[in-house]
Amino acid sequence: MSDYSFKNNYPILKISIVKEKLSVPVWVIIDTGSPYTIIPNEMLNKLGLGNEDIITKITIHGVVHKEECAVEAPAYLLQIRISEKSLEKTLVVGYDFGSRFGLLGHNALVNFQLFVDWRQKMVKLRSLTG
Amino acid sequence: MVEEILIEEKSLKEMKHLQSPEQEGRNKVLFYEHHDRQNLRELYIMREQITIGENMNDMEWFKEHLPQLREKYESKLVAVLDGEIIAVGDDLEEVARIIERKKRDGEIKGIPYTGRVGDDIAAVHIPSVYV
Repeated sequence: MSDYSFKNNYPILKISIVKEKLSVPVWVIIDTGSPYTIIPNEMLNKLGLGNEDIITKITIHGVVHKEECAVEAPAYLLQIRISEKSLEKTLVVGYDFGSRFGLLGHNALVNFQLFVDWRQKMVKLRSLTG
Repeated sequence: MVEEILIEEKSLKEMKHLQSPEQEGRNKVLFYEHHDRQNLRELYIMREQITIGENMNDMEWFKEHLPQLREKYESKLVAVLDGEIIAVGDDLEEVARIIERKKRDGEIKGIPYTGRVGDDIAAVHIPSVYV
């Protein structure tokens, strides 16, 4: 499996969440409907994140399993690696919506041109800033 | 005979059943029972809530002070720690960077709560997710 794929017609790609020397690979859905990047807490725990790493807690509102919900969630500023590009201090929200996938939201996508070809099942992210 | 009762703060924990679900978990609540000395048939309970920053859940503080926050920060993201506003911005990432700088400089310690000032306090909306 390459770093780009499709899962149930969702375009997904593999990114890495980084804290110091630790790096955790995470599959994320490219979500143009999400303003921020959201990673399952289980994945974030693998980085050894503690309370001291939580920047703030927020209320997150969304649709999970077809039901609307509002929950409190931790927000971090972490390094994200997407392909060869490294995004420093990017806002990452820890939230479990019942899957092993995260969401790659606007705050990361703004650094790329995004191409999605559903017929060819192809995703491309092209870095905007080199 | 009904005696006038002033319930001490230390006994409030034993009186959770008197608190509404919304009030449950709040830090300091004083209950006073009063009766009319002239007419002992009347008995009513007055609840007075005293909110303080120390140990108070910042999300509860945020909700409690939303009317005041709306006067000055409508539609803004506001971060609150121990009942004090520590950062304001339009974007969560912007607010997060302010908080991070203040933590790094030792100005604040702890985990603040950040909410959107408005009818809906959620800082993040994910309208599209169904996995």
